[in-house]
Amino acid sequence: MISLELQKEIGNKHKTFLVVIPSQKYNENTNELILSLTHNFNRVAYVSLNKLINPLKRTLQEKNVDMKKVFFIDGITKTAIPNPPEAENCVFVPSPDDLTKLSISITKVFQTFDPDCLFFDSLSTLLIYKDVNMITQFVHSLLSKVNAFGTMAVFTCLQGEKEEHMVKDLSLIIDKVIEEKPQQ
Amino acid sequence: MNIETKNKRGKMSESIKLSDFELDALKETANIGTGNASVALSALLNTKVDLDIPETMELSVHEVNKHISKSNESLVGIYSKVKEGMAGNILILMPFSISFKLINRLRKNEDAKDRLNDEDIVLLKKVGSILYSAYLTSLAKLFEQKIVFNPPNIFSAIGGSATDFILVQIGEKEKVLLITIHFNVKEQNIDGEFILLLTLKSLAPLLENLRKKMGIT
Repeated sequence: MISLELQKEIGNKHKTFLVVIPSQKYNENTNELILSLTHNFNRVAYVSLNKLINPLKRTLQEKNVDMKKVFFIDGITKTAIPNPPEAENCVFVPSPDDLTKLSISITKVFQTFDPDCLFFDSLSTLLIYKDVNMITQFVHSLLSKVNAFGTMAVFTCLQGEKEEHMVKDLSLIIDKVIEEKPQQ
Repeated sequence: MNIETKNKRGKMSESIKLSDFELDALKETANIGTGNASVALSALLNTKVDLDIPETMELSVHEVNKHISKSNESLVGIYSKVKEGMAGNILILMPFSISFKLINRLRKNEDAKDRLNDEDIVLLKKVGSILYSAYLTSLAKLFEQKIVFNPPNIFSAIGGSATDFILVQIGEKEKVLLITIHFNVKEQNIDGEFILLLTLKSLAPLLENLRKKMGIT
């Protein structure tokens, strides 16, 4: 279950969040997060850097997520299937570390889909390829777009030693950092 | 291990199970292929590589998830699709921390590493290519069949989503053969999984070749 603190904050349209999730709860929490976001918003742009589009859509459908409300910016499927078949409500980016193409795709989706909320899953994936400074710059530029379009944004990352420095730096530019508790 | 066997030979369809002979033959090929891949990895790392006995399972697609490592860590996968000779996917899976150790070892680099750059990705793809060649060449020889795989790609996965990669472009109703092998380089604390998933349908002609070769009708 996602925390009450996060549930309360989700309805706030004018905020940006970084949700730090323990790895054991990662899948469960991201699925619940997207379910909550689709309950609270009409159009959610979902940046997926970890999950292939078809299994992701299947999982979300099983969780009763209203798929008509979600547009996917998929930065992972092309690493497995270089020429994936066109998918509904989805744009593909060649790889998760191609920040330029990722940024361009997000802008296009902002212009065409006009989302109320951006869900970014996850910054931990970027940390595999990029240093903290570069990630901070990237998030900063995304936040400018988020502000310009009047959109709420939720970024996720794993709880871990590797992420500590990034979370500390991002806490200066993101409205609220929410640390989910590890499983008891 | 959940393996059902029937003594049916010849045509193989999604509903027909592997016979004892076929399963044993495939286990043996997995052993041989693994041995070759291990030699290749040893040569790359210039040190001994230990391998567990391969686990070979005949499963339906929805059962595969239960048999693949569910590490909570961020994982790196070296993934390739087998496109000719048989149908399936081949994957090396290891935690990111281990992939950095592997790269450091290959580069003879003493510095701590915590990110993958473009050169590292190319290097990991080469490792995949060498190991898959070693593995699949031995299978090709044994089955007397040309086997071709796509150039490897690198992916990252968190929280069990790695399983999705091994099932890419495999039909939901397919019966598959899952071969998993755990490898370990004690000296460097490098360990990971070598995973091969093949559709039973695509193995039928190969097993037919094998039966002919062994004089079994």
